[in-house]
Amino acid sequence: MYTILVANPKGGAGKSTLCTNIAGMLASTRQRVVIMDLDKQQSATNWLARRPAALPKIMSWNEDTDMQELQTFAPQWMIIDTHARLRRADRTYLLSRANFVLVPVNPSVFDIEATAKFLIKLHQDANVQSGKVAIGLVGSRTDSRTRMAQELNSFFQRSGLPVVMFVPDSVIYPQCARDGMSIYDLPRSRTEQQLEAWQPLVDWIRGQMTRSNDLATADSAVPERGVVQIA
Amino acid sequence: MFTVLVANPKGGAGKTTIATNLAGYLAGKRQRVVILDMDRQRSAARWLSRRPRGFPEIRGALPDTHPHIIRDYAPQWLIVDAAAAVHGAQLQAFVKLADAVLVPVATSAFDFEATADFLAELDALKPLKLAKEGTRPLAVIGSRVDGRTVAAADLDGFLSPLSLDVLTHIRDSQLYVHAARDGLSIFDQPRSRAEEAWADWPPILHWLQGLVSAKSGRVDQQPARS
Repeated sequence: MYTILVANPKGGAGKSTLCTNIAGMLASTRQRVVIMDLDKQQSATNWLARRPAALPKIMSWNEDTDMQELQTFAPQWMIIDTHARLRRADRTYLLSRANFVLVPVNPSVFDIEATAKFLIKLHQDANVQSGKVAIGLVGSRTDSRTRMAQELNSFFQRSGLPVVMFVPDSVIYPQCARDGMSIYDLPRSRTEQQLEAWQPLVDWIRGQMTRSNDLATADSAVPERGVVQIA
Repeated sequence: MFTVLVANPKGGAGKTTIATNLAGYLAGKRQRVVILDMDRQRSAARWLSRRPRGFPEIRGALPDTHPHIIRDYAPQWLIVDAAAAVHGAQLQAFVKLADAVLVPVATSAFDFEATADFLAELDALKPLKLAKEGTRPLAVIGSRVDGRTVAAADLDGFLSPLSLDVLTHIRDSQLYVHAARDGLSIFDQPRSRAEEAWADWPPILHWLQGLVSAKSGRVDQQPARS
């Protein structure tokens, strides 16, 4: 199972939007996905509760989850939506378990400032340094025509971390949030532009998976397929 | 001194945007304004540190600022940018000290859900109950509302069972983003650029004006003290 951690200490940064759409993307390609929602505001969990039954199934992993059902479901992906105020010990633990960490940031000075320190801490994490976990930055709600979009991008460049994608500023995301959907659950005619914007993320995940498979062949100490198994 | 508490447990709801722009407006009206930044991310305090010289003065305070320092300045307005995590006894204490409570809510289901319990908690607090014939000192502001969408209607639908006033919808505009970066409010920007965005604010200002008059009326009725 691959684990994707979505984290940022600033609230409203777009964590749940990212989580729910990645989950929807993977589920739409017949992957079995479980979301673990560590945020007490339970945005992702509530979104799952609203999700129409006809759409590709995504499971929730919380204290009420029937573990037998989860085991039978045998998820291939776990997506972790985190609390805004993640403690250091939790951060270190989660990073040791994750294959991917995505950090969404809004194009706003308040958000950039609130995220800067977090990026430094991520950078210093042993699992990040060793390359066991791949970090990617994501611009949230970004209108590429604005000056702030450029400023966000140059903040990203200065951080030295890979920039994966920019989520467009579109009304489609709040609509999806309301309806328990992702952009991958909507008719293509409505989401052409969005899907294009998300393609770099799809490619990045795929690229990282190939890379970790190569690592697995090179180093037998790495668990099977280079994937950290979650108990 | 009139104290305005700006609060919402959901991060990114627009607390600091409301607090800094309200401060900017009042300072522009030659009022002495202090922003008390309770949020650990210190967004408002950093905004103040970026504020260029030559613009109306706004002073800042942090949780550990000595009350004397605020008192000596004798501000007419204290604007409190609350921490995201404030609730329970702490929230009650804050509300007791505040003359008005503003709750900005962004227009997404994630924000509605995260704010619902908080609004219910506020709604039940005694100081925020409607006084006789008075204006209720608790109101909601729609944050970053995109006029093209159904989001505004969604917000009203979310709030209607709570019988809370939605004073206004603050539009989703780059003006706020740029002002935040430059230590300015939209009221510090030239009319030619910012006038459209100003139009969202009079309901908040009128509402505050009503509360200020009610408060000074109450004060006037009290027996004079030496």
